[in-house]
Amino acid sequence: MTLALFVLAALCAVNAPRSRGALPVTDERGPVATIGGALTLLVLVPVAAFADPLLDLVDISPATARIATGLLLVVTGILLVGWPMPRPEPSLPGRRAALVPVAFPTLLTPGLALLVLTAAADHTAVVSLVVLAVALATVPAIAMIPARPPDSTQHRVLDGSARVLAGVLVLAGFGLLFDGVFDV
Amino acid sequence: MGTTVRGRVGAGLLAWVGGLAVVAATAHPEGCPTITADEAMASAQAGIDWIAENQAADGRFLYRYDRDDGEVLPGYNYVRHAGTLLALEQAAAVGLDNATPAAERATAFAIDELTELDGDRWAFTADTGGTGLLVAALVEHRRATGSTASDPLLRGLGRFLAGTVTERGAVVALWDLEADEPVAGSRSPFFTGEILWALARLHAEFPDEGWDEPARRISAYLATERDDTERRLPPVSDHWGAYGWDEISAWPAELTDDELAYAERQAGLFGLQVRYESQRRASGLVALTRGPFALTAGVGTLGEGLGGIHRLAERDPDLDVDREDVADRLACVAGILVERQTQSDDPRLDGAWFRQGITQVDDQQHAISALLAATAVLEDP
Repeated sequence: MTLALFVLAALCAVNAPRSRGALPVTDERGPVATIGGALTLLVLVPVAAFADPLLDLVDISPATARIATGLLLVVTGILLVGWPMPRPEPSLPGRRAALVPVAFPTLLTPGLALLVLTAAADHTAVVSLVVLAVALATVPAIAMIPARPPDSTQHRVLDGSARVLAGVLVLAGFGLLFDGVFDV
Repeated sequence: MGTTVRGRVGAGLLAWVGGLAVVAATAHPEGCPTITADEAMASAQAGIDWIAENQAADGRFLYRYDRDDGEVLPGYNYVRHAGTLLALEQAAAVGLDNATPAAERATAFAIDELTELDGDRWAFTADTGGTGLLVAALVEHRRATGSTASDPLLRGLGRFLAGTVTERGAVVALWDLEADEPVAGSRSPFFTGEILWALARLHAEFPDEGWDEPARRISAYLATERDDTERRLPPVSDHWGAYGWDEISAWPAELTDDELAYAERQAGLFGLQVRYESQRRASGLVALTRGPFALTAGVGTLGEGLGGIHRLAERDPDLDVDREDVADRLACVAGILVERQTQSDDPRLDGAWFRQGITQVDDQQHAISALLAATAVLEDP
């Protein structure tokens, strides 16, 4: 997997415009997004750090893992193109919303976890985590945009962007899948 | 679901279960038994013993055998005769027992079956690939023994092979020996690589005689046109081509960017098939999702192809493949072959590779060649 493909896939898997839908419609939106991203990163640190032994443990080569990850991203992307945007509720109260629903189940998806795992096997854990951190940073960045009513242009643009990113995730998934197929 | 926090978490967990199910269905564990170089050699020796033990007095091999019914199945294939002779010569070259006398008998049979054509050309049956593999085997013998006794024959066979190459570099698969003319439009996915390798070997042995020109013509065609012209899907897994490019790079000569790119794609094709085969199991759920074991001949060709790519990568730094991955896949093939080989007191079974109760001599041929190629990447105990 090239670094560019990984960066693209990570940005699409995090899908900041879509994840924004899970944030509370309060002044806490920014901190909740930051904490949610940090929690996601924290959970995925061991996944990246132990990527090689994990793959060895299950006897799966990085190339085959790439095929599986690619297929999962394709399925995820197809579903998300038509799936409704996440909503802020139900959630844990206050900043604990960073845990549910922001970190889980919105950001911490099997697709993102597998992507981090395969990228760490291909590019080292450090590179994988740096790219993940950058991708996750787009969530609080987009959270900074002031909220508008649900029928506003801003809402439609964010909704459309989320679906475009889901579509690009399908393409990135295919890219990853073919990369695994044609690798040794 | 989704109306409470607990429901939302449950929906998230369900997504994980679904996601992991997709992963589990796609990526099964790859079973690659770890073996040593000695174990690979012992396995190759057992395969050679099966060939030699079951060889007829006239030099023919036991072609096909049904283990369940305990009977020899009818049929014989001369291209596979030549291919098995090649495996015997490769084994003889590294000192395996029983390979040399079996090869001598098989060579004598092949020479008896040759057809002489105008212009002092010699063909081993109408299937041109048979002549190609006979040349490869005779060159193997020449290199191992230093004997030049077959040089006139090698040149006669080479002249026939050179005539099978079209101006574009395609290779005629069938030759009408009565009329001494090509069967129009006949092509084979494997003969092209076989004849490329044969001509490349002839150039290596006789460098001033112009065998390189038709070899390079085939090589260029193979790398740039063959798949589009002859068969796009499924892509040809061309282990003979890998032998050929390895040979050309050893002349020495530089491979073109197209040839290198094609060799890299071939490496990927070999690797993918090895990864898939290593996920197969004899029973259980995986037997349903991955299907039965492939023919051993097919698995062996993957090892031969990877062996060629591995040697080429060692020699040519421009070949953009991960050498460690190539070595891993090659070692995996060897491990699979050793694990699947039959051990028995019955000489019709011992040392052979069976699939669904049947073995064919090319199962032994390709397995032996692959095991010998793999010794380069396997560690000593």
